Amino acid sequence: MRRRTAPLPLEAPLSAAALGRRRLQLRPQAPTVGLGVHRHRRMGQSLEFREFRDYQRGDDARCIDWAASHRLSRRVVRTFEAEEQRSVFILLDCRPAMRLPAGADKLTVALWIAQCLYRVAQTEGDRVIFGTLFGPNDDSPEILKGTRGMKRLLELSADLRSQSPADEAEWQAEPQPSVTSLRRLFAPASAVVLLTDGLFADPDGTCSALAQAAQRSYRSLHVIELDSWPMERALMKRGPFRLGALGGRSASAALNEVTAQQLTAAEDAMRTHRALMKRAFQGPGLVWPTDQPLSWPGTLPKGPEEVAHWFRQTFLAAAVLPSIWSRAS
Amino acid sequence: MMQIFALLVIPAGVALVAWHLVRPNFFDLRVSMAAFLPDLPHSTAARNRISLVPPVTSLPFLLRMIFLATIIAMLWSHLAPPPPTIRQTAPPHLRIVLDLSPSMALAERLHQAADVVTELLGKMKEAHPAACTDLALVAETLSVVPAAHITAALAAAETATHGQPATVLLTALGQPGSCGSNPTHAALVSDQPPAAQARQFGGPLIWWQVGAPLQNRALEGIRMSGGGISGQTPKIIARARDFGAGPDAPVLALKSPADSQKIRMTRDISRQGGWQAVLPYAGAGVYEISLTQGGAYGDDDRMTADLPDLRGYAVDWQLSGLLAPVALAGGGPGDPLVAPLAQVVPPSDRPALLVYDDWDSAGSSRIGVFRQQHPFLHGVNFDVLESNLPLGLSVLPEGFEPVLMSDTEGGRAIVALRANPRAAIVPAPTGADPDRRALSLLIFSNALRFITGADEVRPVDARHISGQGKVIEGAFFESETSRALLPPPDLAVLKDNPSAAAAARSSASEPPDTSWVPWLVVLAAIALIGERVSGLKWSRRT
Repeated sequence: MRRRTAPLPLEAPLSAAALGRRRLQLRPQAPTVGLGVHRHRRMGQSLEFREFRDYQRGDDARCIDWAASHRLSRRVVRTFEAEEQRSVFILLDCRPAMRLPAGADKLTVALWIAQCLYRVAQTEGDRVIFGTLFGPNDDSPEILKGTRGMKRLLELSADLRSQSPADEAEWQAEPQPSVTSLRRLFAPASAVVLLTDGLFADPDGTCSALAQAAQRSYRSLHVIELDSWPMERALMKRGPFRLGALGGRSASAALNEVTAQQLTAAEDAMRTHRALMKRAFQGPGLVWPTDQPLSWPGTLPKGPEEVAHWFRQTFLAAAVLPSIWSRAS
Repeated sequence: MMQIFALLVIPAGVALVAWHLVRPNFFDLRVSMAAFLPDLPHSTAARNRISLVPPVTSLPFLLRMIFLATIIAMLWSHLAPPPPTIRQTAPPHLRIVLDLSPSMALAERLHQAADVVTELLGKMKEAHPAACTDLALVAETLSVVPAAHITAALAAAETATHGQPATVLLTALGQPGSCGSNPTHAALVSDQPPAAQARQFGGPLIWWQVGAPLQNRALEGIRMSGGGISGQTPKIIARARDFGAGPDAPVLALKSPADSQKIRMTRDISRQGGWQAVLPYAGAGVYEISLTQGGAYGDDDRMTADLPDLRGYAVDWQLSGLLAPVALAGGGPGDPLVAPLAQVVPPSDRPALLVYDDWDSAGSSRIGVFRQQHPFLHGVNFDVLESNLPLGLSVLPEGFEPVLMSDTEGGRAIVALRANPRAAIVPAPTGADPDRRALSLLIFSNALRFITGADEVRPVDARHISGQGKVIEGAFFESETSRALLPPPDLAVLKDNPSAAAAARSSASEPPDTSWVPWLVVLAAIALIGERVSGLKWSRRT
């Protein structure tokens, strides 16, 4: 007898206190890669020190740090960070594949991450824009502010989860992204966070162009890679199965089994695909730690609580977080 | 039983087990990296949808089995036949019940009954040679005689003195006898018409009525009216009933404490065959009346009663401002009480008339709701009453209900009534104003007549007596001797199969015990809720 799977909760299973603690841990660290949401390559005039730079003709003489110049035996000037309102653009991959694996779907986990990012951004006073890729509402990203923004984000999350494919044809469809409106809302010196499994196809380069645009004008692009392969690999090892349609592949009426060699081949193919995508996305502000994705457990969870526990343990230790939340101040 | 089991229990149980055995050895899977999978080989495993693993460890399965079992158990009490009360191999048992009520002594009825019993014995022997037969004699007492002694019992049978209803005969069917089993067949021999309750006997039952119609007249009872404060002369009303005795008016012989006389009765058109006579009241004492031509049955022709003094009704009068009417006699604590409400607690064990003095506030309010045609308000002029309406009581003693209310403060009770024992609360008689005096005396008088029952016809405890003065109980049960005689019954039913008779009797007389069905409903509900709650447990979708 087959039972319905209990859905994951809509709200992120991470308290604001836990997020705040992690944020404080990461705050004083200088990011090893990238610039983060609160660190920009733009110089400006503020009280926040940025770096020393060799004096050049035309620099304001008042900026010369004489003590440092004496130590270095050359004239250096102090440069400062620009003070401006920062923006976080959360971009969510909404392909049907993100709704898998059942019971621990990537879409819900991505929505949890979006809620966590919003909570921290709200604490910092940052502006948050939420948009989707490969979804039905790609052209209408929304600006979220304050506690009302959190409520709106939960409503959007519920809507996205409810738009599940109705039949095999919809599962098999390959949606195309619409990025015009997204690019228009890319603010200078903002951070774009893309939540995806990195397995989407980009035959016409739309996504690559969007990624490049997300790194111009002192912006940075942070890709949080959601890797559910360990769990789905465990699923396929359970026995004969009928494979459902997805992303251009039709459903199989016959019973299939998968061999270890085939699993290895699929793993290699995914690794190659992600490497190619990373290369296509590569730009001055890309942060995509492909070797440290947010990996699903290799065992089948017994319930939503187990998935929530895994998320709490994994997300706060994710490799991409320092690049987003650290701040040299 | 087995058919129900086969039709209900087995299919339901098998269906439930089969439902839980549907466990395919494969599953439907959708993986997010399907595009990166090579062409997968077909599985060599056979596709099985049913697994033979017993589902006994599954909690939902057990809960569903409990739910199914309770539902079947609930239906069982209605569908399954009750267990037979006798063994299938038990021989037939005929219980003959002979009515020995007083009316069976009339004419040749007892002899005819004896002949009928003999004929029944022969027919039963002919139908079932191995049958056990006994005879129940229903007189003052009930005795069951085995077959060997029936002839002697018939010869010595004597009718009872006191009358009894025909339904008493049916109690003889449940009496133990020498046959050691419950009767499978029953035959009742009586001069009474068949009782409707006889159908409750499930097996074959014969009601054999004997005795030709005989004319009879019977005294029914004695009632009294008048006396006390009713303003009418006390009188005695004797009632009689005619059972086929013809149009001639019966003559009643009266022996009163004063004299003896004969009175011709008159037709009472309110009752079919009814006669009545109004007898003169001659003071307290024993009265004896008798019909001079009473017809076939004589023990219903004579009655006696000890009548009280109807000219003085005892009342416990405690009103100081008003003298008791001369028609009332002085009473004590056991008699109806007449007293001011403010000075006594309304007695709950005797009638009472309680008054309250509220005329000082009269005229300040209007009549509210009241009961139409109530005896308390008989003759009351409402215009006068409204212009002199007392304020009334805001709170009534326990058990009293208002009869008339004012519209002040949402309604205050002016006149109140208690049904049992009779009691009333009315404004006190007053002499301050002619209108108020007339009003208060009228309402007071109405209430006094009500609690003393002055305007009613009251039954009297009268009893039938025989010519020798012996009290005859239930004589009127025997009075209907002129009923039409039914033809002899069909004795073919004696040939019925005893097991079928017993089964029919069991199903008819012993309804299934369904007192435990509500508990099964509770158990089923708990199992259903448990099954639903267990369904909330999360399980992985495959």
